Amino acid sequence: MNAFEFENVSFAYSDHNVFTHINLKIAAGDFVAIVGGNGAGKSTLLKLCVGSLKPDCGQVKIFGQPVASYREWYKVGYVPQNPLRDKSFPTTVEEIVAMGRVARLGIGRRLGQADRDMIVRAMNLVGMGNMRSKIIGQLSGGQQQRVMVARALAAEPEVLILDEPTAGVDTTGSEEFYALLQSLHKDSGITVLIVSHDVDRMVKYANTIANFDQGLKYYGSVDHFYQPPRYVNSRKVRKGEILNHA
Amino acid sequence: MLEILQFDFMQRAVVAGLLVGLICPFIGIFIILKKQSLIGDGLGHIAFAGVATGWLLGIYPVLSATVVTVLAALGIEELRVRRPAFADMMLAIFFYSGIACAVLFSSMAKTNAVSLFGYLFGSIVTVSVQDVWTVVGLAVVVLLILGVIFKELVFVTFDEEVARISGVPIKKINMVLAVLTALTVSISMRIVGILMVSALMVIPVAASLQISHSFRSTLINAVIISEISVITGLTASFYMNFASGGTIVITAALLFMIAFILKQAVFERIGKSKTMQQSG
Repeated sequence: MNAFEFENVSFAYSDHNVFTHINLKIAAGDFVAIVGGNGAGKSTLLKLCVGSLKPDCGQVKIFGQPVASYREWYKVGYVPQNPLRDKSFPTTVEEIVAMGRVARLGIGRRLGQADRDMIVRAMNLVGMGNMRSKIIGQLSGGQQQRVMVARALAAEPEVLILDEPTAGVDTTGSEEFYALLQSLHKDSGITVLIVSHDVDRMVKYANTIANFDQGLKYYGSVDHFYQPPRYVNSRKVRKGEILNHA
Repeated sequence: MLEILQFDFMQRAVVAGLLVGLICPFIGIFIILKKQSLIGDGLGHIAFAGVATGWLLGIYPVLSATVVTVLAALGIEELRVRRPAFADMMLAIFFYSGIACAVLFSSMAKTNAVSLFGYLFGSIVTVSVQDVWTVVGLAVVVLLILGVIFKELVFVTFDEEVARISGVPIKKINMVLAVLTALTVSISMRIVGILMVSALMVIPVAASLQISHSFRSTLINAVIISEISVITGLTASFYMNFASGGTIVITAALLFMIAFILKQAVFERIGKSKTMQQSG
C-alpha cells in the first residue's frame, strides 16, 4: 500500500520549474527524510501531498485516491514550518491538542470521554502532559513543536508530515524531537515525511531518503544512499551536490 | 438598578443590552484573533446604509440593516478569499460606499435628527418591543450557530492552513463567521449605536486578553467585562441622560485600561519573581 503516489507530476512557480514529470511512490510505514538545497522543491512536495498546491500536470494520490477527491484528511497529521504565527494567542497546550480531534469528530459533535483520553495520551506521548495548562506562547520552540505534533497525533493519523520542524530548536531539543518521531514511527507504524536542513540528525532516524536537486535525484533507502564508493557526506546533501542513485 | 427596571423602556433596554453584551465578545474574540478587528466597524457603516434603506422604503430599519449587512459581509469575505492582498482595500471600499449610501438615502427619506442619532449613537429610550424581539431572535440564532461550529472556529482562527489540511471546511466556517458578525452588528446597533457597534466586540476582548490564560478564560472574562460595561452604561445613561452607546464604550475602555495596568503591575511582577526564583 502506498501512502502517496506522484504520477508524472510537473509543477512550476511562474517561470521557475520545480518538478518536471516526476514519478514517486512513498510506501505506507516509511520514515522519509526529504533533503536538498534551498528552492529544490522539498516544501513544494509536501504541499502537493496535502493539496495546498495543485500540480500543473499529472496527479498526486493519497492512499490510492486523487488528492482532490480525498475526504479522510484527519488521517494526515501536518506540522507546518513556524507553526505559531501569533505568540500572544490565548490558548493552552491542552486546547491546541484538542484541535486535533475537530475534523475527526465533525461539525456539531462535542468532545467525549474517548476524545479527552486521546488528547491526554497525545500530550503524554510527546512529554507535554505536565504542561497542559501552559499558554503556548510561554513555551520554548522545541516544546511548541512537540505540542503541534501532539495535536497531529490526537487525530490518530496514519501519516505525519513535518515541514522544518526543528528550525529554531536547540541541539538537545532537536535530538529529542527526532527520537520521538522514530519511536512514533516504530511503535505506531505511522508514515513520516519530514523536510529539514538538519540532515545529519534526520538520516540517523529515517529509513528512506528523497533527495531533490533540480528534480528528484534519489529516492531509496538511507543505507544504499550512503554506500561506498559513492559515499556522500551530509554537507554535500545540504549543498544539493548529491550523486544520482536513482 | 432595581429602580430603573420599573420603567418599561429600561426593561427593554436591559434585555437587549444584556444579549448584546453576551454575543459581542463571542464574535469579537474570533475577529480580533484573526486580525480583522475593523470588520465590525466597516459592517457598522454598511448597517447604517441598511437602516437608511429601511427609512426610504418604509420597512423596519433593523430588518433592512440585517439583510444589507449580511450580504455585504458575504461579499467582503468572498473578496478577502479571492484577493487576499487587497482585503484591506476592499473593506475600505465597502466601508465608504456604505456611509455614502446611508447619507444619500437618509437625505432622500428626509429622516428626522432624533431617529438618526438613536441609530448612530444608541438610545435606550427608542428601543421598541419589536426591537427587543428582533434582538432576542437574532441572538438565539447567533448563539445556536456558534454552539454548532465553535470548535471549528477556534481551530480555523488559530491555524487556518492546518485546519484546512485536517479537513475542516474553512471556507464555509469563515462565511458563517462573516454572517454571524453581520447579525451581531444588527443586534447591537440599537443599544451601542452604529458608529460604536464594533467597540463592544473589540474592547472587552482586548481587556480580557490582558488578564486571561486560556481561550476559554479569555472568552468568559470578555463576557463579564462586556456585561459590566453594558449595565454600567445603561445605568449612567438612565440617570445622566447620556447616549447609551457612548457610556457603554467608555466604561469598556476604562475596564481595558484597568486590565492593562493590572497586567503591567501584577502579572509581569509575578513573572519576574518566578524567573528570579528559578535562576536563584
